[in-house]
Amino acid sequence: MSALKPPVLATWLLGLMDSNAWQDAVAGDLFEDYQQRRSSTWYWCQVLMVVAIAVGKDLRHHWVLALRALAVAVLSLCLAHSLVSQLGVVPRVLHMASPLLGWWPSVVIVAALEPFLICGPAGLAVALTHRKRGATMVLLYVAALFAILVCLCANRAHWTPGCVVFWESAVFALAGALFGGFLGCAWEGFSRTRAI
Amino acid sequence: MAKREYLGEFEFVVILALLRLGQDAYGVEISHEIERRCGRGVSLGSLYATLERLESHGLVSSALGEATPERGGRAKRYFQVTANGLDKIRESQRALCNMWDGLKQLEVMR
Repeated sequence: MSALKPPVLATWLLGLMDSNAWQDAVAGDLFEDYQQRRSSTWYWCQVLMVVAIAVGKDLRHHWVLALRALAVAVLSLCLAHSLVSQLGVVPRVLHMASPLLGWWPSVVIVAALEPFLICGPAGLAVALTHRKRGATMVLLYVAALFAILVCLCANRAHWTPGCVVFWESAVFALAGALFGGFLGCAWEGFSRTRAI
Repeated sequence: MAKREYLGEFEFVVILALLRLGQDAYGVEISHEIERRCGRGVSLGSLYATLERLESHGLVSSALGEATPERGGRAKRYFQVTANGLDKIRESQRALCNMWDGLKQLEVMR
C-alpha cells in the first residue's frame, strides 16, 4: 500500500522550523503515525503543537534575537509606510478604480492593499534578517501585530461601514505579514538547499 | 541546601515508557505506549520537548536509526534511559512510596 500524504501546508509549516535531527525525527514520527490515524485534523493539531513548542523554546533561548526581530519589524513598517505614502499608492489606486468600480468598492480595495503593502515587506525583512530562526521571528512579529490590532479593534466593535473597512485592513495587515514572512522563510530555505 | 531536581509527572511517565519499550523506544512507540497504559493522548511536540529536556539533564540518551520510506525518508530517534536516569527514577519511586505509605484512604481504593 502506498503511503498516504499528510496535509502539504502543515508539512511545509513544520519544515520552516529550524531543521535539525530532532525536528526530522518529529516529522518522521508524525508521518508514520499519520499513516495509521489518517486524520488531517489530528495531523494539523500535532504540527501546531510542535511549532508552538519550538517557537516558545526559541524565544526563551534567543530573547535578544526576538527583541531585534521586533525592532526590525517596527523599522521596516515605518520605512514601508513612508514609501507607500511617497509613491502615493492610495490616491493612485483610488483615482484609477473609482471611475470603474465606484467610490465604496475602491475604498475597500485600498483598505486591503495599503496594510498588505506595509506589513508584507516588514515580514519579509524579519525573515531575511533572522535566517535560521526566521519562522519563529515571523510568528513573533505576526503575534505582536495581532495583539496591537486586537487592541485597536476592541474599540471599534460596532458594525458601521467605517469599522468594517478598519476590520478588513486589520485582516489584510495580518495576511500581508504572514505572506511576506513566509515568503522570506521559503526563500531562505530555497537558498540554503541550493547552497548544499 | 543543595538544589534537588525532582522528576515531573510526565517525565516520570516517559522514563517508565522508555524502560518498558527497551530497544524499540522511539517517538511513535513511546506515545502509543503512554496512550495504552495511561489512557491519555500525548502530543509528539510535548513528548519530544520532554525527551530533549531529559537528555540535556543526562537522564536519557538518544541515537539516530535508519531512514525508512514509511517515515517519508526520515530517520527514527531511539531513546534509552541512562544510569543517571535509573537512579533518578528509583529516587522518585522511593519518595512516592514514602508519601503513599500508611494512607488508609488510598489502601481502600487499591
